[in-house]
Amino acid sequence: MKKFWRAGDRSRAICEDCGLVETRFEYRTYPLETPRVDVPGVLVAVCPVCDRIVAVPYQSSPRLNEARKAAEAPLEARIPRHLEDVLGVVATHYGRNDSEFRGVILRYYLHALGESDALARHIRELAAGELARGTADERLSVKVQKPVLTRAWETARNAGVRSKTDMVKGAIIAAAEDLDSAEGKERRETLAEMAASV
Amino acid sequence: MRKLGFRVARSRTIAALRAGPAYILFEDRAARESKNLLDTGEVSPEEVVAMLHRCGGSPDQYCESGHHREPSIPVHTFKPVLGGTRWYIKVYFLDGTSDLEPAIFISVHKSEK
Repeated sequence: MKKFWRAGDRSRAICEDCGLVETRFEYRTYPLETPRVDVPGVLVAVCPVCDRIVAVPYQSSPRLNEARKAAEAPLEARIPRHLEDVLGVVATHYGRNDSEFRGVILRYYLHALGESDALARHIRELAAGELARGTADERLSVKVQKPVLTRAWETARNAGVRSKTDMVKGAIIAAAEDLDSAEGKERRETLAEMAASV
Repeated sequence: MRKLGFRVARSRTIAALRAGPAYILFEDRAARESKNLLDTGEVSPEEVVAMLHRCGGSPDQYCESGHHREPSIPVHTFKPVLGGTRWYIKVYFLDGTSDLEPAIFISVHKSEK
C-alpha cells in the first residue's frame, strides 16, 4: 500500500480549466492565500495540460502550516496581574502550567471566539465584569496566526468588545469559567486533549 | 453520474482517512484556510472519522451531486451536527469502484453563522 507520494508519481484530479486529467506530482512554490506567502518546495499535483496546481496531498500540509505559523502576529495586552494568576490556575487544571500551554489556551479561546458570536458576546460581558478590573500592571504577549487574530478581533468588535485588551481579559476569564460550567464542556474536553498532545 | 449512496461513500471516506497520507488529497481551491480545516491541521483525520460516524444518511445530513466542473463525478456532502454545530465535509472519489482509493477533499469546515 502506498503511504506517501513522491515527485514523478502520477494520479488523477479535476482541473478547473481542463476537467478530469492525469496529474503529475512535482515540487513547486505554493502561493498561500491567507497569509499571502509563497512557500517553496511543496509537493503538489499538477495538470499536464495547463500546468496549474490542481491538488495538494495531505503530506504537504505540515510544510504549508509551518509557513502559516511563521506568519503569526504578536498580540500584546496589559492586564491586571491577578488575571495572569487566573490563566495559571486554568493551565494547572489541565496539568500543564507552563508558558507554552498558557499561550495555547489563549490562542484556542481566540480561535473559538472567532467561530462563535455567542462566545464573543459572553467575553464582552466578562471583560466588563468585576474580575476584569484592576491596575493593568502585567504585560502579556502571545503569538497568534494572523487570520485567527483577524477573525477573533472582527467577531469580538462586532459583539461590542471595546479593545483587544478587553478581548484578552474576557478570554482568560471565559477559560476559567469553562472549568466547571456545562457550556464549557466541549471546550474543556478539547483543551484537555490539547494539553495531553501539545 | 454513477451514485455511490451514503453508506458506501461514508465507508470509503473513512477507509481513505485511515489509510494514511497518500489517500488524503485536497482540491486546490480558494479560501482553503477557512474552508478546509483538515488541510490547515485544525482538524485531524481521526476527528473527521468521528464526525462521519455521527453523520446520518437523511437528506439534512448527506447529499450527493455532480462536481461542478466534471458532473459525472459525484461529490459527497456530509453535514453532521456535533455539540450543536453543523459541519460540512465535501469529498469525492475519481474511480468510485474500489473500496480503497484516495479521497479528494474540497471542504471540511463548520457552518457559517
